[in-house]
Amino acid sequence: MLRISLVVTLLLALLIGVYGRAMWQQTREPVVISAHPWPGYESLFLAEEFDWLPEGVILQRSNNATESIERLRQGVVDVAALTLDEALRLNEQGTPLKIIVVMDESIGADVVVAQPHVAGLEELAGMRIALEQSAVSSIVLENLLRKANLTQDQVHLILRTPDQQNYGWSFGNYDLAITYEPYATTLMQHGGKRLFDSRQFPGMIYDVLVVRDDLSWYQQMVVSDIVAAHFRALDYIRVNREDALRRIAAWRAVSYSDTQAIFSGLYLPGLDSNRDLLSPDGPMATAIDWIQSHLLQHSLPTTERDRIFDDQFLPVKP
Amino acid sequence: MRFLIVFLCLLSMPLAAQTLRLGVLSYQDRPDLVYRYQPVVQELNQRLQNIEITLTVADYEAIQTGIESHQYDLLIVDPTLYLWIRSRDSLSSVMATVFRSRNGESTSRYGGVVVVRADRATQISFTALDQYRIVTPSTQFWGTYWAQYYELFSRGLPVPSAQQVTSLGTSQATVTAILEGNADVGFLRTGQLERLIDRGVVSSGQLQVLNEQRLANYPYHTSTRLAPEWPVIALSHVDINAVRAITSALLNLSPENSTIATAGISGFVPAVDYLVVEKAMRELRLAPYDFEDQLNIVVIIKTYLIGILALVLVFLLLLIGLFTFKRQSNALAKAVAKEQKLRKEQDRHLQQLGYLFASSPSVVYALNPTTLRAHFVSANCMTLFGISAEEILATSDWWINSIHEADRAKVIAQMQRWRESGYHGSLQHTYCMQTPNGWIWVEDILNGIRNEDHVVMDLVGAHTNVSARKEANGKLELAASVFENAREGIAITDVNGCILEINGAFTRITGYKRNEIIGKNPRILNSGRQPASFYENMWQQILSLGFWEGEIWNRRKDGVIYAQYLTIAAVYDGQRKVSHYISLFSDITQQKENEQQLAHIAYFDALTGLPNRSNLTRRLVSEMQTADGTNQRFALGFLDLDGFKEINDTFGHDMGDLLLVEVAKRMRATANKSATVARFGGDEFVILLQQQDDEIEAERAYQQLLSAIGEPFRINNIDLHVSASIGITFFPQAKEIDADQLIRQADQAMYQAKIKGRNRLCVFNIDQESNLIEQHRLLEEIQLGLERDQFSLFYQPKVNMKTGEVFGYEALIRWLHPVRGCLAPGQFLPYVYQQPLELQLGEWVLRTALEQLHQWRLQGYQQSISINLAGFQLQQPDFTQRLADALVGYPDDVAKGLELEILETSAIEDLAHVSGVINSCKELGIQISLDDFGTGYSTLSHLKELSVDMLKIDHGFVRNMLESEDDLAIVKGVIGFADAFHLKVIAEGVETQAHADMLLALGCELGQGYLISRPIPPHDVLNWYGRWTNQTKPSH
Repeated sequence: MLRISLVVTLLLALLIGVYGRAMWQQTREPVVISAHPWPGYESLFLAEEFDWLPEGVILQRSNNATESIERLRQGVVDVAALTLDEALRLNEQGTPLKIIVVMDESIGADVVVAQPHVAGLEELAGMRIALEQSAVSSIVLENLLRKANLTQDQVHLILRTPDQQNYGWSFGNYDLAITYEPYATTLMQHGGKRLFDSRQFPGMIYDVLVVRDDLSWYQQMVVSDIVAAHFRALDYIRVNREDALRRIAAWRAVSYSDTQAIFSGLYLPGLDSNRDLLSPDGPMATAIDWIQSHLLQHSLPTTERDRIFDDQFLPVKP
Repeated sequence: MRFLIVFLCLLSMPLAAQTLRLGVLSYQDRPDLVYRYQPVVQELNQRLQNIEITLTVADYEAIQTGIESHQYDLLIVDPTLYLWIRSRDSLSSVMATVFRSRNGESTSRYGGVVVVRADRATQISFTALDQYRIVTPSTQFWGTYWAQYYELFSRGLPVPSAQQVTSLGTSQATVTAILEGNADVGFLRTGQLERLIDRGVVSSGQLQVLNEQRLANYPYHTSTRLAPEWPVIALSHVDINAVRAITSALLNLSPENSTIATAGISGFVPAVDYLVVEKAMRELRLAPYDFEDQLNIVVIIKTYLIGILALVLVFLLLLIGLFTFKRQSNALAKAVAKEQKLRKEQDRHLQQLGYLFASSPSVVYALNPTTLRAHFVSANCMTLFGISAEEILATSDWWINSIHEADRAKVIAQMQRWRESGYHGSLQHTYCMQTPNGWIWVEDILNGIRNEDHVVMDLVGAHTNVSARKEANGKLELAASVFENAREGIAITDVNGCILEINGAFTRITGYKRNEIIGKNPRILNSGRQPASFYENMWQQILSLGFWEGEIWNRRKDGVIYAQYLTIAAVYDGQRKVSHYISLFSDITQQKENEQQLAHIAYFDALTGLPNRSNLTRRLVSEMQTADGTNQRFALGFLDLDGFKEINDTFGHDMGDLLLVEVAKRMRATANKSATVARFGGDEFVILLQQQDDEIEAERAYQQLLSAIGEPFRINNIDLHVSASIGITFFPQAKEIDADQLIRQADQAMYQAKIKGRNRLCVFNIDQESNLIEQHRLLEEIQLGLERDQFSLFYQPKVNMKTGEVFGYEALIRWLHPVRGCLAPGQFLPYVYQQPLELQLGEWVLRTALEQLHQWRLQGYQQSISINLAGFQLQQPDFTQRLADALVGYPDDVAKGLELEILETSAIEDLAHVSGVINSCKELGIQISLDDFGTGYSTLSHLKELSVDMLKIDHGFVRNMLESEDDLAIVKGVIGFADAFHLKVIAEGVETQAHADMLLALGCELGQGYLISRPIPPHDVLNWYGRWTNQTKPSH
């Protein structure tokens, strides 16, 4: 009897030794986040400023979404902030990932600006529309045409990125421009008027936080802490808005009043709202179906689509 | 409804006269502070009817005591004190929050500042403040103590202890203590430092702020995150209508009101949320949140009652389960022990029997006829098979399982049949059996042992190892199997070539079945592709060396010709004479096809199907040899698409690829049949035109390609417009040249075509080669100069020579070259002539001049600036658009101050376009003058068409007019011209007083030149203007 318990004890010690070592090694892997400057992602930078990100987390600043996508694809980063369509496309191209937080939803930040002579939606047929070749622009266009009861052949599309649109605008080279802030304001200063915006088709344009699907258990725990830090930063923006916006304005080198304006076109969903959005029959599922049918080559089956949502990382309500 | 009416009545009712007592918090009990808040109170009293507010200034404790004794109605206090009050009087409400402004920025948030003496800033670290003596106006206030404390606390840094901190009562005392070295660190609230600097108590360089926060447009230094400013509170007993009236009055106090400023604030904004401070105070456990959370056992039981009950239940169930399990296992153990005893006895009997068989060469065993389980094995199995009898007996189904899978089904079937026959006779079979030493072949003989009733009770068997015998048979079988299963076709012939045997692959490859070919000669496979000599050589080698191998084309039975790799070997008998021939062959038709395909890939571009670089080079070499022999010329064109990269960037590479395919198709369709169109990679193509003795004809052919490509391409419903640049060279040339050099020449000519403005041809010119390199180097240097800001505009004044009035400046570009010094335009502009860089420089001049004009306007200086336009710049179709773009953001008077100088020569070159440009400029308010007038032979009708504002007489005529009659005549003529068309006229090159006098005499009052001033660097213009006006004033 004594001998058996001795053997069992030794075996247990060995097991703990082997597994414990493996676990300890896992805890040394850092978790790397990539995000580019965008109002919806500022919570991450704010969390970094106040040291709220868990230990071992590295927040990499990328210049644009393309950089974040490439880093995620190469496995250099584990978490990235992207638009919903970018996340889906990346997933489709073979980088398995999960959407764990909805960072923001565009409610008016994506705008259709019209020349003064355009009276309303009912006379869009035959008009020249400047737009960028991007998923978000396609979404805006689709909704604009649906609202105006038109098809794509009934208008002329001219590909121009928003920073180039200003150029031909004053010369009347196009009747409408699909754009976003701060470019929309510039066009409106040149006589344009707001004809249509993303507030009129809510639940379509989202920015999300995605995580690679191959993280170790320890990294997943760290990611949960990152998500908690994001919500803590959101809470800080809510209760101490002036302080938060002045900080953000300072590191983006823009004025405080401009920063206030930029945030007004965005909806930053809180914890409960995130829970709704990430549920398989929530509004995001509709957006995903739309993006898949219009922008991607293949559509995921519904079960696959639901698998891409993961609300396990959201903090438990106190 | 009734309630609403009462409420409305209440609203409209005048307030009963009342007096409300306002308490304002201060660091110390200082009645003098009453004077600072008194004007605010007076202002409020004036605005309020029937309410009289009286003012008390009191310190922290006094206000707390006052609250307890209900002395106050209204309060302006620190947020920490407000939260304390709210915990006592929970219905007290915040009416408004203070806000402050500085330098045009206002804020209703404040925080704490940590200052040290500037000369000690490097020694004292924010991360170790617990080691220094700290002073503050008060440790009770958020801004002067708790904000700093919380910032340290929340960042996990050491916080100060009570002993280190001294309260000095005022910010001034605090700062003085630090400056005099009585303390190391000072805690202030935001704004106090700035106020002390404004009052001259301390200068801005004397103190340094630690942990300075970067906040955009925040008007004060701060070391901490921000919190809401002081609230104005109404205690719960104050009448709601009074609260409304006072709130309204507070919010209406105007920031411009100087009475508010005496209190150090700018006014009040609607109440803000104090949650930030509350959260911080809870974290710091400050009063009123200084209680400990206590665990209460009753609360726990109440909360988790169901959980606890469930736990107890689970525990009980476990106990019952454990008891039952123990009883069952005891009974089981007894039964097992009994059975083991019996088994052992039986085994001993069998073992004894086993020894009898130990000397046999075969292993004897006994099986149960129904289960086929062995219950006896003779002990010699250890020596024969290497496995112990115990092990065999312990293994259930040993007999069946030790039979190799391939044999098992057969053995079982035989056993089944034997059993059905009633175990008649003995069963004998040979199979492969597994032993610890590996697989062995055994012969197994089984007999049934019957009892008295002739019922078979046991099957007794004997295993004999027959592996050695089996092995000899196996080798033969293997050879036959190799022959039959080989992928290669094999035929064996006798010495005369008569086929004796073939294998399956032979039939598969040739189509001949065995019975069709045996006895025939392999000659019937002959395809006729090889000449008779081929077979002679082949047989010669077989006879001499004994074998032959090689590729050969043969004919299948169905007539299809195929390629095979054939080996023929002679087989010799004992006397070294050939007894047979063996031929072995494989079908390599597929391999041949693959080779051909590879060759295609190697020589043709996969995307467009055009010949690729190596193919073209090969053809070029052969074409060059032909040309050398026949003395016929050919042309080589190097084509590169213009703007292809932009299309790739805008529409993606897939689109770019589609475009390349279309371009290739169109070129193929346009080019002559004998022309070779090759793709060199990317958007580069090479077109080789044979027999081009006439260069003009060749250029025309290439021009056709350019036109074809210039037509829009419609791809995926998008119209793409591209153009191309082609460089051409010819062969043969005077100098000997190889194919690579020839391609390089065409490439260089193409590059020339690019820099000449794209969408054109350019023929290679030998002399270009060296010039090109030099020019290219200079262009790069100019480009670099632009990027490094080495260019500057100098301004030459234009004055009225009669009145001395300065009415404008001509902007002249200078290159402040780091090595060569200040370079005049003549030293670099010719190199950029008609190049994209010329446009860049022009754009730079335009934008710089506009910025200068804007600066002057801001300084109240109203002169105009004229800039020189290059002809190339003017001819750009989007010139007007670019001009308009440059003007965006500038007020109208800047555009009105701009003047463009157009060369007369370039104006008449493209009269229609230029006159259009001039008209659009006029609409923008821009003035136009015609430069170097007199050199371009303008006619009257030209002048009429160009609605310019001013003519500039070329300095060449002006400079020489005193000596040359002809030049004088021209000057006179121009002045007359201007007069006739009511245009202004200005003379350039006024170098001496004599020039000026002569021009005035001729009626030309405006002039510029060295007499007045050389071009002036931008920073000196205003100085020069000051000197000039002083100097000319006395004259009129």
